[in-house]
Amino acid sequence: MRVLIIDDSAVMRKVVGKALREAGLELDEVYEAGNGMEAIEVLLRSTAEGRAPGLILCDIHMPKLDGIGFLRERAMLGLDGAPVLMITADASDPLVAAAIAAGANGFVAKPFRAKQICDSVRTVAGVL
Amino acid sequence: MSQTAQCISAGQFNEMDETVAEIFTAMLQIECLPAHVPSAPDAEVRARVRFSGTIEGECVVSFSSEGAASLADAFLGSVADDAMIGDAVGELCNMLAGAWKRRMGPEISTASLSVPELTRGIEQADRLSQPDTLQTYEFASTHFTVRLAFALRS
Repeated sequence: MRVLIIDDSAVMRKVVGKALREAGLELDEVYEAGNGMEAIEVLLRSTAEGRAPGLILCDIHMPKLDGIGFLRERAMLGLDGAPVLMITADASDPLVAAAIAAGANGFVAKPFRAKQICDSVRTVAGVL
Repeated sequence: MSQTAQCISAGQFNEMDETVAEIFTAMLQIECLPAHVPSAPDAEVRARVRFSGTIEGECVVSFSSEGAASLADAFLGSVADDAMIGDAVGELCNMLAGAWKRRMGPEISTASLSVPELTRGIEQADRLSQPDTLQTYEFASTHFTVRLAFALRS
């Protein structure tokens, strides 16, 4: 499976990738983006190459283009095929509900265990 | 809107102890507990997340350079470069502020969080006007401090 991890924290991108592997997800390719704009570029490029991600994990608060902006831009460009799990340190943030309204399929609150990522991925992507 | 100063209760800081333990156990598989040390360690790498809305205040996490490197190594499972070290301290602060806030009642849990601000260098004089509380924690022989300060908006 190809996965896109979007977070302005490089450490968190690595931690999420590690958690996915620990959860038992076989990752053929892990794309990383530090904000929504970079993520759109990754989606455009990977889709053109026939290697679009099958799952996206996305932070909410990011510079340049945040998680909500990314979801809206993705939909406008017709790139909204893959399920999206939002990852947030603030589960009471009203932007979590806004993200669901903008097309996200669920969210995971930090701190998380590998099993929580596993359960959420199974729910939104039907894998694991 | 006026501010009403609010001292952090022992119960509220106990929730921070639980939050610290939860984060280290869940994400790093390491035990982290309050440490009773005579003085807080020298702080050279700090991250600050501000609360706004129903409360005004901040959560500040401070590490020595060596301690910050240990934290990043624990997150990544390998030796981290300087950028990753700062990033790890910021991310810890972000999770602490968010997870602690979630444990509080609606007066606090509905406050907004800023993105983490990272500073390096010798600890500057405390510029806070709000009452605050400092606690030292220890994991794998590494110490760091968490300072919580806030005032309820009324």
